[in-house]
Amino acid sequence: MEGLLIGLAVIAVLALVICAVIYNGFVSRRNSVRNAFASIDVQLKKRWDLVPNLVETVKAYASHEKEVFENVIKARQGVESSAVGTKERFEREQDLGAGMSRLMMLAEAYPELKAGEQFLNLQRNLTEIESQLAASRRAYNAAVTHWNEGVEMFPGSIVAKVFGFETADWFETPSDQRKTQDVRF
Amino acid sequence: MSDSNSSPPPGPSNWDADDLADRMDDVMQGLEAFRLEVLAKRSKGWGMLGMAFLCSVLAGVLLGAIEPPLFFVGVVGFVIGGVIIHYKFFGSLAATYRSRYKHEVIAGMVKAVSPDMDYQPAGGLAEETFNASGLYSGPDRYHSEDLFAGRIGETEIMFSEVHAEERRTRRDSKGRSETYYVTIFNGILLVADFHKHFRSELAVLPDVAEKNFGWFGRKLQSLGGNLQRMENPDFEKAFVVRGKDAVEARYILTPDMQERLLALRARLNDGVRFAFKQSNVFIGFSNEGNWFEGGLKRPAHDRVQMRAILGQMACCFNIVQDLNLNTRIWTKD
Repeated sequence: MEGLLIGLAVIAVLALVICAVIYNGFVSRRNSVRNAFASIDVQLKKRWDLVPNLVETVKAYASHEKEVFENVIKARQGVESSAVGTKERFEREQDLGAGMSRLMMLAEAYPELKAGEQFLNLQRNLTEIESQLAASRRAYNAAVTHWNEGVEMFPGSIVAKVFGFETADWFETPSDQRKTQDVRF
Repeated sequence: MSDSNSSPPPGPSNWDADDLADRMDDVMQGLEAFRLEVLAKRSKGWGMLGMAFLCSVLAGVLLGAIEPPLFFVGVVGFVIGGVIIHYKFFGSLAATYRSRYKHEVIAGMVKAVSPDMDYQPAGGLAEETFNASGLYSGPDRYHSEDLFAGRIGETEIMFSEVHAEERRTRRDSKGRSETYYVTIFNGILLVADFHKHFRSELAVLPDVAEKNFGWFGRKLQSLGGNLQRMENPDFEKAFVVRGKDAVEARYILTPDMQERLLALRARLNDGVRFAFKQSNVFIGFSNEGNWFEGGLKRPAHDRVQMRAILGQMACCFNIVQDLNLNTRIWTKD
C-alpha cells in the first residue's frame, strides 16, 4: 500500500513538472508574439511620423492633387483615433499605407519632384520602413505559428485547454490590397 | 598549394578570354619565353642529374667496389641529395614563374574586367577576419593568398583563398603522441558590404541535422537556441538560421533574399555558409583545387587556363549581382 502511494506521488510530481515546463513554454511563446506585435507598432509609428513631411513635399509640386492628400490625411487621422493593438487600428494603418503608396506614385508624373533631394530622402526612408514593417509582420506570423502549434499539438493542447490559451490570428493583407495597382504615367 | 587549375563552377561569364589574351599579348610573350626557359633548364637539370648518377655507378663498378655497403650508401645519398638540389633550384624557378603569372597575367585580367578591383597575389584575408565571420571554428594554422579587394558597382567586396587547419594529437599503440592537422576550411572566404543596415548578427548554415534526422533533427536544432524559422520550405530544408533578433533576421532574409541564397547555393555548393554581421555579409564556400594559378604545364597564353581563371573570378564577382547587393533603395548608401 505504501509503495503504491509513493508511486502515485512520484507520478503526480512528474505530471506537475511536465505541466510546468509546458506552461513556461507557452509563456515564452506568448512573449514572442507580444514582442513581434510591438515591433510592428514601432514601425507603424515611424511611418505615421513620415506622413506630414511627405504630404508637404509632394504638395509643393502637385498642389492640385487634393483628393490624394485628403485621403492620406484622413487615413492618418483614422489611425490616431483608433486604439493601439486593435483590429481597427491595423485596418486604418493599411489604409494609410495604401494612401502613401498612391502619394509616392504621383511622383512619376512630376519629374522635378522625383529628382528632388528631399523627396528622394523620404522615398528611401519609406522604403526602409516598409521593409522593416514587412519583416515585423513576418516575425509576428512566425511567432503566431509557433504559438498555435503549441495550442493545437499534443500534449500542449491539454495544458492550453486547462489555462484557456487559444489560437491567435495571423497578420493578413486585406484582399483589396492584394490586387495589383494600376500605375498611370 | 598544388599547381593544378580546377574548372570553375558553372556561372555566367561575359568576359572574353581570346580578346583579353590579344590585349595582353606583350606580357604573354615575355612570360611564355620565361616559361620555356624554365622548362629547358629543368630538362637539362634532370639530364645532368641522370648522367652524374650513371657516372657514379659506373665509376663504383670500375673501381672494383671493394666495400659494397659503402658503395650502396653512396649511391642512395647521391640520389637523394641530387633530387633535393634539383627541386631547390628548379622549384624556385617554377615558383618565380607562377608568381610572375599572377602579377602580370591575372592582375592584368582583373584590371581589364573590373578596374575598381585590386589583386594582391601574396595578400590574403587576415585571420581576425576569418575568426570574426564566426562561420568556422578558430584555426591553429592559417594560410591565405590571392586577395581581391575593391568595388563592384556600389558594393565594397574582398575575398581570398583560405586554408584553415586545426591541430590534433593522437597516440599510437606504443603510447607515443603524434601531432597532425585537420582542415577546417579550404576555399574562398568573401566579405561584402550588405545593402541594408543592421545591428544584430545572423548565421545561415547548412542544415545538417534536419537533412539527416528529419523531424528529430529539427527538434535537436531548437536546443541550440536563437533558431529562426523562415517561411520558405526549400530554404528551411537547405539552411538553419540562427540570430537573436527575429525581426532583423527577416529584414535581412526577405523572401527574395531566401530565393537568392538558395540559387547561390545551387551555383556554388551545398556547404556554402553565410554570416551577416556589422552590416556586412561573410560567405564561405569550399573549392576544388587551387584557384587563380598559372601552371608551368600550359603555355602562358593558353586560353583554357585563362577561361578557368576568369570563371573563378566571375564566380566570386557575380555574388554581388546574385544577392542584388548593388540595389541601394534603403537608407544605406
